[in-house]
Amino acid sequence: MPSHSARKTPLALKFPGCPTDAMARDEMPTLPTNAHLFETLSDGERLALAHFMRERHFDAGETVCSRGQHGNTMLVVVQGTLSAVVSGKDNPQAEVARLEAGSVLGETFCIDPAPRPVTVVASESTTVLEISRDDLTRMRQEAPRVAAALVSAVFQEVLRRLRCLDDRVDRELRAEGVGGAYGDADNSVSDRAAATGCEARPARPRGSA
Amino acid sequence: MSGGDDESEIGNFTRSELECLLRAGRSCRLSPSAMLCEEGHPAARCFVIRKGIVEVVRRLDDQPQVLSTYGPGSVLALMATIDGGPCRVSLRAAKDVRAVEIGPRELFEIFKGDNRPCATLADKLTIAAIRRLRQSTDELARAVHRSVTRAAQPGRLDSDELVRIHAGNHAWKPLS
Repeated sequence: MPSHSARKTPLALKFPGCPTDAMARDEMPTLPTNAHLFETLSDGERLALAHFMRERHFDAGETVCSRGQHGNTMLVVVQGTLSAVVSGKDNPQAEVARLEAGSVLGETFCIDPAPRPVTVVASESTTVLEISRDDLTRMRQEAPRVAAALVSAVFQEVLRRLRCLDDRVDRELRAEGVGGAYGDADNSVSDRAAATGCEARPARPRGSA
Repeated sequence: MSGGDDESEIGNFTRSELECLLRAGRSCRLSPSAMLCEEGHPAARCFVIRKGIVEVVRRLDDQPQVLSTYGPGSVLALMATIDGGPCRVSLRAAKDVRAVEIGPRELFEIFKGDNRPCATLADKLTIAAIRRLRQSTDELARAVHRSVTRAAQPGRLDSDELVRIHAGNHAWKPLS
């Protein structure tokens, strides 16, 4: 298979830690080309990243993750569609949003595991590529440049979302008209807007003027 | 470590990570009242505080108001440094402050670094940003929940979950 060899050789040279068993397979997993998160990765890095990921298949209706369940993986939808489902107090479970092929789910969880915020089910027969925190740790050792590229991509995506989110939080709190965004440092995102790395100390006791 | 410091670790950062920071950026001293960045203006660099206290200041009704303070180990002005957008708040030295200042290019060099201190440093910065994103999501969920409760919309789907879906991942396509 000339085409296989042609791909394998440069990858093995550039990323010696790539799993050789994956490279030896006839069908190597590949990341969808429209996956926004990986735009900053080179073709070689994308290929190498895919080799550290596992392919998983979900039948229609099968639960991918449940709200509150511990999550430590990132998933990339390769084929099919995932649905976010919610159940309100007076509502049966309802689909409220969809993720299509090329979308990424839970990219923060493979770096910082946490409870899943939402229940996700496969709305049709769906194939995903998955990478866990442990896979990322292994990639750090075996293909450090690829791991660094992934972490950098997630970092930039998180900051982009944070900017949008903080703007929205400010708008919501302003709309409440209680000075809530600014009158109480404990209750404010704005005071945290500049900082990461440690907790802020409120400038005055909670609730004081 | 430069500057004759005897810092084994600061906040969440180990000595080797601090050395990595110092190799990428440069050490600086700020006198009391010196501004690290100004609300509404872009930030050319972010700061890792080594010593001293920094105040977070925001203009409210045209009056500067101190919202909170940050001490050693804090990473400040990171978002504005990376995305080039305006700072949401001003940062002012409350006392003599010693910090490491790092520009966007140097910051990305840390992320590209394939040695262990750079990798763990990049992980810590990313985890800190992720946790702040989650805090902000919680904040938004609470604000929206208050809004829904005030509007008394019984039967409306759980706003908390909707916020978490859409704040966490813009790839979700909402269904009407």
